[in-house]
Amino acid sequence: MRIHVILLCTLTLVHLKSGAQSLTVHYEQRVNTEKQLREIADPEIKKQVSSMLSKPSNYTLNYENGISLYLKTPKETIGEDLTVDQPAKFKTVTLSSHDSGIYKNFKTKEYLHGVDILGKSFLVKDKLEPYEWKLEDEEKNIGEHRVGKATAKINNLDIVAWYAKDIPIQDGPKHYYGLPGLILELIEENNAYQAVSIKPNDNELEITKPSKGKVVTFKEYNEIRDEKINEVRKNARSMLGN
Amino acid sequence: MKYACLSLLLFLNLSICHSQISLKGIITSERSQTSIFGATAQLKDVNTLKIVSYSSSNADGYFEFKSIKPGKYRLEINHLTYHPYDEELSVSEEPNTISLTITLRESSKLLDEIVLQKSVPSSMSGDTISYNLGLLTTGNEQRLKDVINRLPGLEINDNGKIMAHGKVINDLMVNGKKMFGDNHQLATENISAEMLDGIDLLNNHETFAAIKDIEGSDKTALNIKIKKEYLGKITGNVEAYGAYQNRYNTHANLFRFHNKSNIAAIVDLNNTGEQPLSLQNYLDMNKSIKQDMKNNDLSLSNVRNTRDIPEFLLQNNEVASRNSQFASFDFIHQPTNKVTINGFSIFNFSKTTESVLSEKIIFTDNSSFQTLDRQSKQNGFFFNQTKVNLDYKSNDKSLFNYTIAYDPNRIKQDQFVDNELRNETTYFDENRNQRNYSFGHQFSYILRLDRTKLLSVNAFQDIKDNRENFDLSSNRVLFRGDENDLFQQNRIKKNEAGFFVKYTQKLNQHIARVNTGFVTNRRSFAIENLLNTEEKTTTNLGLSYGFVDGAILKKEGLIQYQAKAEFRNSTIRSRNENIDQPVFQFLPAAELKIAFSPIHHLSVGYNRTFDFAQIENLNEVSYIRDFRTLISPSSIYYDEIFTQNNYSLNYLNINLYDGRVMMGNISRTYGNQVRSTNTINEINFNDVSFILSPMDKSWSANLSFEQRVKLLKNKVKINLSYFNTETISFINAIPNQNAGNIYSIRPSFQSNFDQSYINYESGVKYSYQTFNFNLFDTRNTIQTISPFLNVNGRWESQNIRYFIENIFESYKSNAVTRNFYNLGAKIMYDKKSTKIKYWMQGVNILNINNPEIIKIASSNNIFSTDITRRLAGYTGIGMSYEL
Repeated sequence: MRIHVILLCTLTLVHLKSGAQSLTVHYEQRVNTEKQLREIADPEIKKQVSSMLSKPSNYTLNYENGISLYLKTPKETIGEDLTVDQPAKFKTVTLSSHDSGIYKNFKTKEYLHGVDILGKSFLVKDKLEPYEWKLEDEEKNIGEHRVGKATAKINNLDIVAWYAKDIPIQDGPKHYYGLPGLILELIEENNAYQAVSIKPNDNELEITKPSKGKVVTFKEYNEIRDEKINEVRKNARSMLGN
Repeated sequence: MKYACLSLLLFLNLSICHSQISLKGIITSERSQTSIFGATAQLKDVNTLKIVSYSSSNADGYFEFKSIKPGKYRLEINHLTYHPYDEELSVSEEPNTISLTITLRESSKLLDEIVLQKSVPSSMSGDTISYNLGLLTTGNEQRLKDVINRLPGLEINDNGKIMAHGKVINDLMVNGKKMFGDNHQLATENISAEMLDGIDLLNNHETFAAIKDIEGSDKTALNIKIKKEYLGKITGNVEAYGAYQNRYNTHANLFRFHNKSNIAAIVDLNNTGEQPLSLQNYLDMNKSIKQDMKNNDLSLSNVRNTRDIPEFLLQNNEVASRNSQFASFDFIHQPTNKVTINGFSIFNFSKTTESVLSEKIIFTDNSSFQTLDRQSKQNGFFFNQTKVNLDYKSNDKSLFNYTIAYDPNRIKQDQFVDNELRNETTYFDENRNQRNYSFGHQFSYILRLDRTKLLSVNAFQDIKDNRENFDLSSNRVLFRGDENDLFQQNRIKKNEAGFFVKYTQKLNQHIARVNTGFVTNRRSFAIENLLNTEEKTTTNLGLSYGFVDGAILKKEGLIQYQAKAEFRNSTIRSRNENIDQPVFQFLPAAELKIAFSPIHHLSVGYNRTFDFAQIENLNEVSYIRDFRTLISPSSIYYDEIFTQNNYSLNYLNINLYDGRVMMGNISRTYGNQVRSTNTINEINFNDVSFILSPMDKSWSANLSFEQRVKLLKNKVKINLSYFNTETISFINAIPNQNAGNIYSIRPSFQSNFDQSYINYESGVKYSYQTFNFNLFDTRNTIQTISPFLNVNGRWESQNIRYFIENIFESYKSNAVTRNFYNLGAKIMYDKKSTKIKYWMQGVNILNINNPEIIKIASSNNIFSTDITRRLAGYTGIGMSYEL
């Protein structure tokens, strides 16, 4: 009898453990091509830029019991894709080439983001403050999930988000969170994020807190980022002299 | 009254208080009684089910809704691992705080793995630097060249070529379509900055994707993006400028950039001295059609084209006057996705006059003496280059390409020299008339066999024909004869054809290549003059070679390298002797690169090249080069081989964050033997013959550094360079080691102020050049210092822009000094909404009479210090109309 009880308890424990809220969500980030393409009239270039820009970046959101890490999905294979579609490949030096992810801890309200700007490492450290989401009436389906619409103005950008009513996790891609359900789709001005798969995890997820870089607040990070973008542009403008 | 107000306030206060109802709760687990973190709580209207408020439970299971109005609600609590909970609530004015305790039951139902959408594997990678100029409003930029010079890592070199990270770019494109060929100057000087939407620097560029995917590419391209409003219509501008004294400049740039085609027409007529296409460009364009072959190494044929070019073609500003007419047409047309036709045709007529006072020290084997030449030259030059290129891509797997080029030109040069030697004056009159043309075509076919294999086939033919008539007369007898008047005709013909097959395979991160081919080359040099007893002598050479080479490359990762080995079997035959001389050569090349990042790398390289003698140096009879130089029969045998070993070291580090650019390069070249000269001085002239010399060495080192200084809103730049050559020439059969060194340094500051009233660039150019003749322990030196300060600005409200150029040029040689102050200014009225611009401009205002500069040179047995007249300054007014 006792053995049965122990077994039952163990099973329950195991069951409990596996019952912990642990999910891996894969997102695809796409650049809002419409705005960029508006400037280009040449159809050849438009096609090339469009295909380059519309290639999505893959991200993973690992969520467990109120702590999550959002980072770029590491490439599985080294083999390149040898498609000959693009006559001219445009490669880009992105502003941030290394990213150790966005860490959110909803219990302690901690926000951390390890990122680099033009080669210099920063650790963005801030508090998770609630956003002023406005819940709209509109609903639609994404896959099998019923999603509701919410809008907000965050960091001077108009954000539209669709959250799953049946996934009660107040998280989402990047630094977006705080809706009654998991954000499955989010549209910023220049980018769109879409969840492509949701997988529950049996095992505990390893969530590594970003730790390297010069510590700055979210506001400071955005200021530096904008400043550097302007500087690169100004370098081109500064020829204004001669 | 007082009481009424007070009670009103109280009442209002109470009502307000009464609407602020707060709903709190604690959520716990039914089984374990522990608090549940992260459960979503939603308060919905009971009728509409619209969410009125929502929250989530904290680590203590606590949640709260504030400022709830009285009414009926539905409370829903959800958590991923618990069963959902809901209850209906009635909220009334009293009490104003509601506390709830909620327990949730565990759910064994786990969320299934759901795939919501299909995704595409991403393959973005990158090292293109993209400059978005779209945000630029107006600004003081005038032309594309002005924009390029300020972008980190990019600059325009002295020959008008666009350079990226120290190398000339391979392709210049407009909206993704190649234009202008190698004539970067046409684009940089004529495309106005206003038309620019953006500039992209593409590293590893190759327009045919199959080559790019398998081979990678070492080419760089600059893509200029034109703003949408300039597309589809004829845009450009027409300018006219008139100045004192008798100077004019009219210029028209017409462009039509469109979906399927780009056309550009540039016309320039001026006597202000501007060269839309410098004659240095002409030399660059006068290369072989081989360079147009697709997917082929440029180092294939090492036979360099080093014709003796008359000096005046290299003049630039060192002329007393220049009158030129220039027209160029450039087009690219893509009627379908598979076909591209592009081409250009350039016409250039120019007339220049030169005035030089040349002090020469002529060395004999045991002494030296001085002579003074007063030279006055008139030059007329006509040149045309036409090239048409066809690309046909039947599918993604193959490319067929054909190019045809034709370049005729005419050069007419008349020089009058007044020579003083040992108190005697002699006059010489030289008249040269050259008619040259070159014609070439090439065909390339590239086939992608599969994802990792590429096969290419190339064939080419290149024909050159150069003819010169030379008439020399004097008041004394010429050379060793008894004539005052000599006439000479030269003709050099070259005909080269070749065929290659190349196979490329990609293996993981490596690329392996095998290349084989065959080239034949026929050359002849015919001389006809009265110095020789025979009427006409022709030297004929035939060269053919077959080669096989293999290469392995790795262009990814931290350690990258290229290694190539070529085995070449050449047969050279002199038709006069009818003997074949076979030569077998092994030519290795290697480069190792440590790439810390796409914009930070260190590389070392080595390669070996070899040449046979140029036919111009194999003359069997004497011919006249100029009034002072007689070329005697060469003592170089036709089958002599000249090999060269080249070593180089390069470093590049760009830090975009701090705005720092560091570039360094050192290279050294050794030759086993070179063509040199033996000079016998006959007082009135030099008898020069070509001879072999045992060594030729050269060094060059270049370092450039740029840093943005945020605090001062300035950019600091410094450029250092050193160049050294050592050759051995002979004077009366005695070897003389000839060493030349050039040291130069150029520090500068460039401001980057936000407000546009003033911006400046200031610095100093300093160079020190020496020539040493070891045999005489003598040195000829020149120092040039030119500090400069350029200021510009905008006065937005009045639509005025101004530019002021201040350069002080100082030249100091052993015995002579010349200085002058070059002041230029331009003030423009440019209202955005109007199509007409006006300006007043002065160039080198303080030198309306020709200023003079000094140059030094050394050749054979002569040191010369030349005082050369430069173009005179001018001031005038101009107008431009925008189409």
